[in-house]
Amino acid sequence: MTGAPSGLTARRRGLVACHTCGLLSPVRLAQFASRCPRCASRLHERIPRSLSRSWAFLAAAIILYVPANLLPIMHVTTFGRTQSDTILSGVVYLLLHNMWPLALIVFVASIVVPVVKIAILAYLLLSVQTRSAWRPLDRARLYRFTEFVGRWSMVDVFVVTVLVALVHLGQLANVAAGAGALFFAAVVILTMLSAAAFDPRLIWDNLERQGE
Amino acid sequence: MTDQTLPEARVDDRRRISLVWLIPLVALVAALWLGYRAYTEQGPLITIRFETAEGLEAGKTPLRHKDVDVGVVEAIELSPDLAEVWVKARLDASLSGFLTDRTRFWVVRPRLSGGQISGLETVLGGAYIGVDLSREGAEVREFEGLENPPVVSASQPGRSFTLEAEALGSLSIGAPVRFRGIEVGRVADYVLREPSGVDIQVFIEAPFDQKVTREARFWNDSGFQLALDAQGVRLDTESLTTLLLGGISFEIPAGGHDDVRAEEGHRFPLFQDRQAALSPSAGERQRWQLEFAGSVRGLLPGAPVEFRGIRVGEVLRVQLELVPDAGAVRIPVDIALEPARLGMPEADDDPAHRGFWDRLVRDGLRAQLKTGNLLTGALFVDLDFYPSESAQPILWDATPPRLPTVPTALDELRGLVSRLARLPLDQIGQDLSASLAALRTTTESTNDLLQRLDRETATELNRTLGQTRETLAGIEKLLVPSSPLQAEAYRALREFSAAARSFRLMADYLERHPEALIRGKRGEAP
Repeated sequence: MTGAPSGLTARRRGLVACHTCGLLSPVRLAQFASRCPRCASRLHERIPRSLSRSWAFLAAAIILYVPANLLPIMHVTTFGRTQSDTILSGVVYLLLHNMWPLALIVFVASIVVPVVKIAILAYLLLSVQTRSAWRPLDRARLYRFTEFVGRWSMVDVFVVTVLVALVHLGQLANVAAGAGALFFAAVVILTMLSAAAFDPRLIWDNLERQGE
Repeated sequence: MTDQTLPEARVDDRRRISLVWLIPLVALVAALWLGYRAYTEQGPLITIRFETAEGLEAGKTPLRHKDVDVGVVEAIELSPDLAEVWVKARLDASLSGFLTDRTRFWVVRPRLSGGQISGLETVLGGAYIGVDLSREGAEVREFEGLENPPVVSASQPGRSFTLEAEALGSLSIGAPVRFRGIEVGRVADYVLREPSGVDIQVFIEAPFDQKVTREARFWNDSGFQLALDAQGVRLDTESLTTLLLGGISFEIPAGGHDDVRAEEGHRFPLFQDRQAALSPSAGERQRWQLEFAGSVRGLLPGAPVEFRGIRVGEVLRVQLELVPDAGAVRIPVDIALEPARLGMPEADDDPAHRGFWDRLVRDGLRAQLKTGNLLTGALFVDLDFYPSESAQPILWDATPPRLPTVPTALDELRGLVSRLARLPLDQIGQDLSASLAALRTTTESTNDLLQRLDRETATELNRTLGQTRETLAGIEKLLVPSSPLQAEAYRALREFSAAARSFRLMADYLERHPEALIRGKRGEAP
């Protein structure tokens, strides 16, 4: 972005915006643990150790994504026969039974969204670390998209919890959550934490440095 | 605020490595641990060969031992020659010690067998592979799947025995074995026995296997037995199950003294029916030979030997024998008598025993063929006393000793016919015609006598008849209506009638006027 007023960041002016109430206040640099004079939130000009934390959460999410997909998320017992499904086998099952709209929803919510989210976050983190100045506005938009879409990948976990609570028909039908559901929930939470730990202002900081 | 010349402090992370990296570390450890556990818990991969993979699904179909999941089918593939299906299954790691050559696998589908419906739960739940694990035997990883569930599981307590039968009959695998009507076991298997016969494996469940002593008698009570023999029609059935499947029963004969429990795999004979099984064994039988003069058509092995209607033995065999020296053919009939049934001494060579039989035969004991069943013409051997028969000894030298016989009732009839044929019929005919000629001369002389009688008595008879007719005409004249006798009688009767009428009038009048008796009749008319 060329039209951005890159030289005028709050930090340059010695100001820090409060994350909670948005109050702009001058900050004395020596005082590391300063607080917002209005709402007493902790003030920091950039999220501390943003990249490191974001990377940590993202790494954990990537690691846990493997068992989340390999382990069954749900054990469905009907007429004494137990069927254990992983996320992918559930999608395949739905497809084979001609329920492709449902299969699409599950596929998008459970596979596409987490993968895309992890990929976007990884790209953002990498781009900030390599101080890339390439299309910062689009990258900011990508970040906002990630934050917005993050909660939707919990659909799967949500469905499992609802089913486990609802389907208790004894011998007839029974649903139990599998270990996969736990890992999947962890993946979603970790990506959300990773997104939260990432400070999008870092995207613009690079631009600022280049402008110097 | 304005620009300051103060140097801008750089705020750096205090530590290069932050505590937040513990999170991915924990995640990594957890994931690695999961992977490690999955790897170490992975049980043995086995291959089971089946004829068909009907109802099996890779990744879904479980393997179950006693209805507990012990593994899952991982892949189903065809053998290279397409003849069979290779089912690759992953079993629980803890079971690796149980995969021996005695472990059996079979597919549980709904089926009707062994008199019961099994595998009904698989209608809804889908088929699964049944496993019967066994610790005994050599460890293997490739198995031949059974097409039918095994009748006896390896862990079931009990013992199996072998029954020697002539033929399998209507028995099938899974057919029940009963003891006093209680189902105590099953037919587990059968194999051909060389050179002849069939070995049938039965499994008797604990605790009933304790009942099987060496004296146990097994018999086939398959289906129903319709016997049409010298004893008439007999229908035996055990239960509906045995009707469909066949079945075996066993019993311990009364008075058994050998109550040692039979060891595993003990061989027993399988009798045809209960009667054969529980009748005294062959050792207690006495063999005799009979020789009948006439035809033995209708006499079959197994036909009863009776003494005045009580069964005392049976016919063992009937055979034709050529006697080259005499140039004759004889038909010796071997029978077995059960002395216990006769209440006789048992020992064969005992002189007292011989004496006993000799005395019986001296008193007229003979064997005779009799028709037991008019419908089938089946014969049986009847023992009875015929004191009038000529004395015949027992041939003790023959093997077995030969009892004297008397001819059949039919044979006697034949004898009678042959005697009839010997009658001098021609001479009887000549005599008869001579007698007839004599009879004719007698008749002729009788005729003469009659003619003389006719001539001399007929005229006298005529005259008597004429006189009688005249007498009758006189009587008739007296009785014609115009005769004076008739007229006189008629008039007298009329007089009598008038008198009666006037008497009635008077009686009527007196009834109305009883006073007239005293006062006389009044003049006035009413």
